[in-house]
This record gives sequence, C-alpha cells and structure tokens, in this order.
Amino acid sequence: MGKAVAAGARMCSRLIATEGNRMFFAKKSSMVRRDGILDIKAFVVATILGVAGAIIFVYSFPAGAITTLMHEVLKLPGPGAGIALILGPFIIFFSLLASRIAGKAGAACMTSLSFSLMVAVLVAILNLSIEDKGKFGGIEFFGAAVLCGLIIDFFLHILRGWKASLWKFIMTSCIANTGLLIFYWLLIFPQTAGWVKVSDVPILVVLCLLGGLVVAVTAIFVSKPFAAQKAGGQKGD
Amino acid sequence: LCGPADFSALSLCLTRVAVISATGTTAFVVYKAKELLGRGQKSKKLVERESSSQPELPDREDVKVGLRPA
Repeated sequence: MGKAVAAGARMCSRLIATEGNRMFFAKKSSMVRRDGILDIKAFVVATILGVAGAIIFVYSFPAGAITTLMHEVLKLPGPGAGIALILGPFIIFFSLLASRIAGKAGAACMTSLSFSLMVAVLVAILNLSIEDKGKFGGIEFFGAAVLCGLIIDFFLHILRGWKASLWKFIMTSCIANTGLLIFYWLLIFPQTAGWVKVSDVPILVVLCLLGGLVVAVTAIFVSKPFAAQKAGGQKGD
Repeated sequence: LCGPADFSALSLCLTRVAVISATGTTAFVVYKAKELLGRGQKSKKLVERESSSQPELPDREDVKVGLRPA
C-alpha cells in the first residue's frame, strides 16, 4: 500500500515537473519570437546609427586629441583610458540605441559592424589623420568593435527576462566596455603603445565601469522618445 | 608610451564636441516643445468634445426647486 502511494506521488511530481517545463519552454519560445532576428527595417536602423556614430566619432576626435585629453589634461594612466572613457562608450551608446529602437537581436552587432566599417572607409577615402595607437580603421579595430557588439547582443538576450531595462543596460554596457578594454590591452596596445602596467589596471577598470554606467543611463534617456513611440505604435496596431 | 601631446587637436575636438552637443540639445528642446504643444492641443480638443457631447440638464421644476437655497 505504502509503495503504491509513493509511486503515485512520484508520478504526480513528474507530471507537475513536465507541465512546468512545458510552460517554461512555451514562455521562452514566445519571448524569442517577440525578440525576433534582424528584419530589413531593424537592419537599416542599425546600419544608419552605426554610420552616424562613425561620422560623429571621426569628426569629433582628430589625431592626438584623445591621448592629449586623457594623459596630459586629465593625467590618467594608460594605455586604455581613451578606450575606457571615449571609444568604448561611443560604440556602446550607438549599439544600445540601435538595440532599443530596433528591438531585435543582432541590432547592436550590426551597428558596431557598420561603425567600424564606416570609420575604415572614412579614413581611407578622406585620408584622415586619426589616433595611430588605437589602430582606428584597421582590422584589429574591426575585430574589437564586432566583439563589443556581440557582447552587447549576447547579454541583452541573456538578460531579456529582466523587467528593469536600466539595470539590464548598465550591466551589459559595463561588461561590453570591459571586454573591449581587455581586447585592446591584449591584442592592440602591445603592438602600438606597449603592455599596460599591472598597477594601472584597477583604476582603468574602475574608469571603464564608470564609462559603461554613464553611457547606459544616457542611452536609456536618449532612446526614451523612440521606445515610447514604438510602444504607442504597437498599441495602435 | 602614450604619444606626443597635441593641444591644437584637443581644442579642435572640444569645439566640435560643443557644436554637436549644442545641435543635440536644440533638437531635444524642439522635440519637447512640439510634444508639449501637441499634448496641449489634444487636451483642448478633448475638453471641447466632452462639453459638446454632454446631455442638457432636464428642465424640471422639482430639480430647480431642489437647487434653490432654503
């Protein structure tokens, strides 16, 4: 009798677990469907944002400006302060904006890809003088930007269950900025500016996290009208 | 390690950043002003529509008497 009751209880618990799993996967698949992959509209939005970001970046920072600002004016250690406070936040800002406006997985990666390509095109066509240290427009820069976009897309996808988009954006932005800085430290700066000193790493990481925090809050604030319009449009549909 | 200082490049950079920030701020102010104007017009229209669609009060003696002060 006892055995029969135990077997029944086991069967019931298995049934409940199966039902729970079924509901969990149904919910997950509906979320994936809602996220969607990049359609033509999202692709165009992401590309335009990347191109605009690249034009603003190349226009705003002529050769020597970032280095002078970081190491002569602000007296920050290097190499890496310019990446942590300017290049990283710049790419992340446009990628987060694209991700929030387009609302599709892959938008951030597309934006960072178009950003790096446009910087390379502008440097090649206009023969612009830009920072040599960061290899802007080079293949390494292309790799760094794509890595940053991939990190953003990956973490926005992983954290899509979070209701508070501000915290989701802050966390994603900080991780992406740190990833970009580490990529530069390991693969680009040893060829151009030398290895970073171990004693400088903590302050540069703190700066990197601060840059990520500020850019996430700014991206949320700037994208608010577009996100609200989109929500209104969906409601209207 | 970190390259030569170039203060002319820095001043050019700051000027350009200031221009871009001013453009962005102007665009934001224009957007907000437009939004506020649109909201004001919408609420005005809503008030007008409500006042035109309100049913007239019944013209009954007992109601009028009830409203009069004692």
